[in-house]
Amino acid sequence: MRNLGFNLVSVSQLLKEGFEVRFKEGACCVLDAEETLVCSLLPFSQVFRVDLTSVSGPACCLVASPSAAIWKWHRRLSHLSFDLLVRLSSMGLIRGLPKLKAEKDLVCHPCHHGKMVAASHAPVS
Amino acid sequence: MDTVGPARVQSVSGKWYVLVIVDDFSHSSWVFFMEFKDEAFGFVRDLVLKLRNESQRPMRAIRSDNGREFRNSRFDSFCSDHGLQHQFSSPYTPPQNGVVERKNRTLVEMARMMLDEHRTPRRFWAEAVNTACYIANRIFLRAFLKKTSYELRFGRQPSVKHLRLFGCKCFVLKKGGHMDKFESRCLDDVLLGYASRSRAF
Repeated sequence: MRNLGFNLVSVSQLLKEGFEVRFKEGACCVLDAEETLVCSLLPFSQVFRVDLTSVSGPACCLVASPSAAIWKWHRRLSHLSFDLLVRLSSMGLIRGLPKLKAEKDLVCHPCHHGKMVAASHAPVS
Repeated sequence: MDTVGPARVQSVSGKWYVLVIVDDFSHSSWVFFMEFKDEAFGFVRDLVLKLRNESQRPMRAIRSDNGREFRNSRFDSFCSDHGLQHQFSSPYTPPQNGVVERKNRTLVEMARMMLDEHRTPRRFWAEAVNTACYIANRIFLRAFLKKTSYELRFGRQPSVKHLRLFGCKCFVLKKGGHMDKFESRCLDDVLLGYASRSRAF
């Protein structure tokens, strides 16, 4: 397929590997042989989308998107902000840091837990 | 320089306070961990003597707040012996000590995030702060010079090839002559930082 921006997961392949896939109205989940949840799928227009926030255990290696490198370096450099990370890699000031591309809407949980502060109220006009 | 603490939880090595020292030119930082605040003098003295050997330009002044760990006779005599000017901020005016106060916040935030990531127990905060300092020296830019503080200090680019995730599982190779042939060759452990004086984790 041309211009396909996503990876497709084949249900028949999952079944072949010994997983169990359960579909319901509005939700779907993939279970392994011991009936523990591997990941859940959320309906997304005509298809189901893997909810990667619910992925646990060895299935984490599913997250092989192009942004894996930026995540890896963000976490290794003790949650350096994504802006500075991309700027540093483009300036070439550090040995061993690969070229990283800026991406939008990256949400890191420890960053939120560690740095969240109360915002002031918007002035009432 | 400034102290942070006391922490709510004692670190595994029995420390309560952090002494943060920042170089005003390169903004490279050093952290030292103390059980009592009066240990600060020893750390500052060692660092000043070490830096005198490292750089050609002599150190002129040190700047701190009016904490009793800095404003005392031992510091006065040390400064007069080595020709250092000891500058103080006005009482209860931490903004005048802003460079190091901001560094405190950066380091504590980085440490908090690293501890949060793998739910590492709180008592490892000292290791987290130390690792944060290690990384901060390598990655943060001096904005108008467009160089990292490591490069300003050592004249070469820092390397980050050896960095790993703080708190990740690691396998420590067992070494020594008294190993059984069928004994496992490594121990499972948690990575808690980088060695400062050797090439190790």
